[in-house]
Amino acid sequence: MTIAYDDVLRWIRDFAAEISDNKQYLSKLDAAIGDGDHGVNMDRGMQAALGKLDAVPEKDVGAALKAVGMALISKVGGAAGPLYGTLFLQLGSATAGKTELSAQDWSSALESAVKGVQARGKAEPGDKTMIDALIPARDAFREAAEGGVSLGDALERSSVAAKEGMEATVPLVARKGRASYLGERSAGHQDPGATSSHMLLRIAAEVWKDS
Amino acid sequence: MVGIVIVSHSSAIAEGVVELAREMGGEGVAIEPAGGLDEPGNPIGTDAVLVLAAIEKADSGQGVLVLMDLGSAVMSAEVALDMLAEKQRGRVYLCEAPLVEGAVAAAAAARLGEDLEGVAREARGGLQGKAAHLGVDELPAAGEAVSEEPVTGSFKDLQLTVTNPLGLHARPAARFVRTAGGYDAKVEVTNLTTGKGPVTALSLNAIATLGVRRDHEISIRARGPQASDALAALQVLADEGFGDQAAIGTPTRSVDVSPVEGATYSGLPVSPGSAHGNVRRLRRPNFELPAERRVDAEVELAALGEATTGVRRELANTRDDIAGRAGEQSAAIFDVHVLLLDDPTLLDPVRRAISEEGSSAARAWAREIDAVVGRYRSLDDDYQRERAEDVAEVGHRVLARLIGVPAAGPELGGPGILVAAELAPAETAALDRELVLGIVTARGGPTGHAAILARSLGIPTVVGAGDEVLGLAEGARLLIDGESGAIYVDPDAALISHYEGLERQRQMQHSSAQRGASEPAVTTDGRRIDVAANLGSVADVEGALAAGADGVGLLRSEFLFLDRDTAPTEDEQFTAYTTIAEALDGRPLILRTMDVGADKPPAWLELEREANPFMGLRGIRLSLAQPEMLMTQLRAALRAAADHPLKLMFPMVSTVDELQRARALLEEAHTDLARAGHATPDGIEVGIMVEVPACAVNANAFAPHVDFFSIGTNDLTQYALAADRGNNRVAGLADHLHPSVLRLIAHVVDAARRHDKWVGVCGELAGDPRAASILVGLGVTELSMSPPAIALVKDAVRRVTYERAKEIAASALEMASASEVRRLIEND
Repeated sequence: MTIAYDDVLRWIRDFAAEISDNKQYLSKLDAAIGDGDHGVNMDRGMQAALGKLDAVPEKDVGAALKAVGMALISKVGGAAGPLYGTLFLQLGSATAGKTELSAQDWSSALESAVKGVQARGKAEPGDKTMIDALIPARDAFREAAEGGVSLGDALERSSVAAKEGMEATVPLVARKGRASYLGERSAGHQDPGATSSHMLLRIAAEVWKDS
Repeated sequence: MVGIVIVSHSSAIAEGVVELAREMGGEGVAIEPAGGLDEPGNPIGTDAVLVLAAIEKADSGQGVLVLMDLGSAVMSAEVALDMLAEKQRGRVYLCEAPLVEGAVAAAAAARLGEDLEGVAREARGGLQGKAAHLGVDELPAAGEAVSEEPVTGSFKDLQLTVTNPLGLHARPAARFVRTAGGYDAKVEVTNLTTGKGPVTALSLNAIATLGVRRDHEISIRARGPQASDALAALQVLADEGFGDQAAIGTPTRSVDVSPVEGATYSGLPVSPGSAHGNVRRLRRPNFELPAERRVDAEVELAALGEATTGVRRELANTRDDIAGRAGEQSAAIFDVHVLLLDDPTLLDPVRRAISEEGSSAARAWAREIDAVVGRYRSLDDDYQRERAEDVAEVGHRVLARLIGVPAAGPELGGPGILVAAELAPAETAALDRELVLGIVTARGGPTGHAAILARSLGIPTVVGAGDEVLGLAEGARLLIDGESGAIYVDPDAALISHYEGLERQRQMQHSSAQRGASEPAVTTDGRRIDVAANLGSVADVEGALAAGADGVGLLRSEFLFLDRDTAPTEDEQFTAYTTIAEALDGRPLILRTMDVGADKPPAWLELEREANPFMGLRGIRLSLAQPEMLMTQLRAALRAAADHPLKLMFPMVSTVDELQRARALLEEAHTDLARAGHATPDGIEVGIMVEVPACAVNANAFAPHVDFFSIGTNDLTQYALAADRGNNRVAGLADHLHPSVLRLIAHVVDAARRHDKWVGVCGELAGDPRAASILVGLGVTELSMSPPAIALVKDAVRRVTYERAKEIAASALEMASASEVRRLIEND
């Protein structure tokens, strides 16, 4: 029950494709409460990341994830750049040198990635940010994995938790980033960062469900 | 130079800000833009990799200040920081200052050579000009609140008004903490006047943050079994003024200073010229911390305990030493240092960082000390700011032990104007002289170490400016006038340009004086004055000649053989004297026999410690007590004099009998040498140094037995005014322009004239161009000084007639004080 190196690459590619397919949607969400570029920015970043994957040393999961992180911090541009960049860089550090990932590996990688994003963005749960999708997802996965649930099911639960977290951002008032300038008016819209974070975890569950 | 990086979402903004900042900082400033994405069309956004590259480009090792616009710019800068090597990361500072104003201010500060801290401070202050223009009184400041856990339960209360002059600063605060800590009670203090607090009474640092000054009301609350006893004891302590004897014995300046109109502070000008720059205090240098590694918390905690115990022992020894030499009150500052080592607000966070965050003891300690020092420096109370230096001192000592390196001496943080209480010889010796643009001392006097150092290096200097100057913040802008003693804080542009003009004029005069340096100094009416050099090493003779010396008026022979374990042999001395004489190529050389005493014993001489070495066995007294040493030197000098115009003089002569005994030894040495077949001179000129007032007053009795007198004004002044020039509290009294000193000089000249002998001056007074007219007018015909002063003194001699000089001297003798004499020569 492990995630192989090629599975990780597939996850990255599918996530890039998902972002690409939904870039208008994400940007529209962002336009409601931010500067309307989240989808376009993330798409530019993920496309750049795909270009870097070929240069990754053979079968090093950590190296692949770091390459994605480096591309994102350089090419996204908005706040998502350093935040998603940090997320992938932390995933990469936690999995450096590994050729495949166990449930435990993924749990602790997710742990340090979320920690990194929190440290970078200084956001708390309920601030209407990507954290609101990531934290429930991390917790759900850890709980499931520790409870002996299969990797595929644990990933599924993690994805569901992210979805619930994402949906829960709708009524929230933004307290971080440009959306916070809107104050009360930010309520009633789903957070684009939480939305893309949910995509990340949903794709993981889909791609790795048979691992 | 400190580098600057501008991070913006837009490359156009970043580049525009860089362009604007360069106008202020000049082309040389290392400022790099990191804006937009490195993408076709430069989309708006920030790129951590670009930021990283910009930081690396801007960093020359002095640190980099990063200014950012908003949002992702800040996070991208943080990501870039994470990617730097740890060592470099430590010198990169992400600054919250406004982008445009901050960049302009930072560029200007970087160009002036400010350190990273200074550049950041300037950047942060970048909005001040705009705020003032728009009439915004106060910028909203993010105040640092003293956070304390809320306390519940019943308290006993005590309110009182602090009456001692210095408030709850170092020593009184230390007594407060010690007293409060002696009871089983939780004690808290609040400053009712400022509303700061409550803080725990067990922490010196916490008490300091209250900023309690005289007449402030404080509230003390205690709870616990001994709450009442604790409050009673604190009440008694308060009634005693917290043991603040400083109330009656605060060291103040003893210098007689006439305030300069318009100046922020005034002091005594001791080295001419003006200087403009930032306030620099002597600081302990920063240690390079060892790389972060996995640590065992137990081991680190033990190391911390060991280091603090070691420093406590060290401090106790120093304390005893100081108490013995300077009294209990002076030693009490070390009690404060010791107390810091037990302060829970300092130690608890350090221990927490070690046990919870896995930090090494050295890192945790360094971080906490920096934080505490920073808090002190931000207080608006001079005494408390001085406390920052105490904390830094103790912090440094402990850190040195944690890292396992020796504690280092203080140094200057960057180029600027050194502001100090007074400079100790060891400190002056260790200074990086390139960095010292000017010197201001709070205490000290015209013959103190700072003054002597400054004159010998030609650094504009004002001494005795009062303790207020010690409250000046590091980095504050200062302009000092070494001619008038004026000190201006935050000088305006007009004043700066006025002084720049004067400085250019002075430089021109200086270079014209320099051009005439090797010409003789003759007054306009034809009186020749020999302007000679004071010399302490063979190597300096070339420099003295290049500076225009007409000869050597004082060879401090003991300096030639200071750093060695064995006494110099006759041959070694002969070689040294001959080498100097040959370099002088026929110019006169006056050799002073070894002038040592218990205050400065050479390593090769065993001397008993004396309670009062300046009045002890020294100079000719020591030479006569140990005649073998003197005989060796006399033989060497006589042999050198066979072929060269070498003269001899004896230091610290008090009685005619001493001189006659020394002359008898000289005679004996001469006879011995001749008998042994050595070449000897037919005769040798012999003089005495006039340092002891008795000798000056009794010059008439000495005159028949000498060929010349050379007046050592430094010692003569301190003996005449009974003021130790090394003692801050009274050094200001030891002013060599005091009429009493001038009268002693006049008296010696009169006696010499009656016997047709000549008189020179070889103290600091000789090197002061403004004093030249007085000395020439008194009848002195030789002035000997540290070489850098020669050109200007010669220049001064050439600007006066002997007749006019005599009038000035006569007037000076009629003055009642040194400051009157100063005004007289300034107005002339």
